[in-house]
Amino acid sequence: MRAVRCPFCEAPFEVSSRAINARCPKCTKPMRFEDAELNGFCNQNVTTMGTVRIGRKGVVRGRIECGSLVVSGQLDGTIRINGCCIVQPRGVLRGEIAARSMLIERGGSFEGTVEIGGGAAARPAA
Amino acid sequence: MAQHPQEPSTSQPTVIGGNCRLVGELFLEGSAIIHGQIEGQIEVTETLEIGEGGLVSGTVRAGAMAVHGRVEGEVYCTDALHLGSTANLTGDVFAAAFSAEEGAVCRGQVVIGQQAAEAGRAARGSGRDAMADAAAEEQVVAGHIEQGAPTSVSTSPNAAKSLLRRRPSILSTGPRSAAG
Repeated sequence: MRAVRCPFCEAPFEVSSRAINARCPKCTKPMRFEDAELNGFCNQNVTTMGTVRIGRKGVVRGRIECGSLVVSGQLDGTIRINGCCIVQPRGVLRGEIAARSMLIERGGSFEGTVEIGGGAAARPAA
Repeated sequence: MAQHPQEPSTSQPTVIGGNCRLVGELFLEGSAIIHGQIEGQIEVTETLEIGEGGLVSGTVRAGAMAVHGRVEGEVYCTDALHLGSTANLTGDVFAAAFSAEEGAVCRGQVVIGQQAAEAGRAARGSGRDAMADAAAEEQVVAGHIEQGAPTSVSTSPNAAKSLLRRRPSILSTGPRSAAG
């Protein structure tokens, strides 16, 4: 099972780790739980409650809203994460980040504005 | 034979208690734990820990830093910055590595990486120079006091002016200005 929190009403609930979509039991809003791995050049928006991974060769630009984010390549954009944001060594992250928790490992880099906690990450992107 | 009191070991952190409120500039060689309130500039050469009840308003320069209390101002870390679940940080951050637990609150411009750490080192050097300049100005003022002009003494503004004069040079060495 995977513990998640609804990005719309913030209600915590659990879904199967194999689920690819579900509705919030409280507000009934639909959400997707697919994981995504981005490698190579990519200029697109991603919305999922699953994990988004930017691979070592990934160069991504766009708006990302996800459950958790792992950056090993380069990511530039507006990012809203309902869980943890991890920038691994050699990962480069730029832009506006809202997350519940954040870890930038030694060798990783980040430049931009950050908003951690305070319900910032739970607000759905406009 | 009289025994001299031993000098405090540098391995022991300096602790600023919860009932302590300090206004001005503080430079500490070694590590420090802050449970009280500090308004002004603080520089710690090694590890700085701000306890749950600690409050720092002003520029903070340190090696590694762990925050469990409240910080309002610019933070320069040459090593890692960790925000505990009770931390509340408002201001710009420059650090080599960064971590924030769930429950921590952080708002501001953040620059993490080796360049940021170098900016932190430059800021630490400049901060120390600014403190030395401020101290020198204060000594000059103190000299005037002894000569009989005690009415217009105001050391804090001199220190603040000196820091503000230095500030653009600090920022120009950082990666933010290069990116902007």
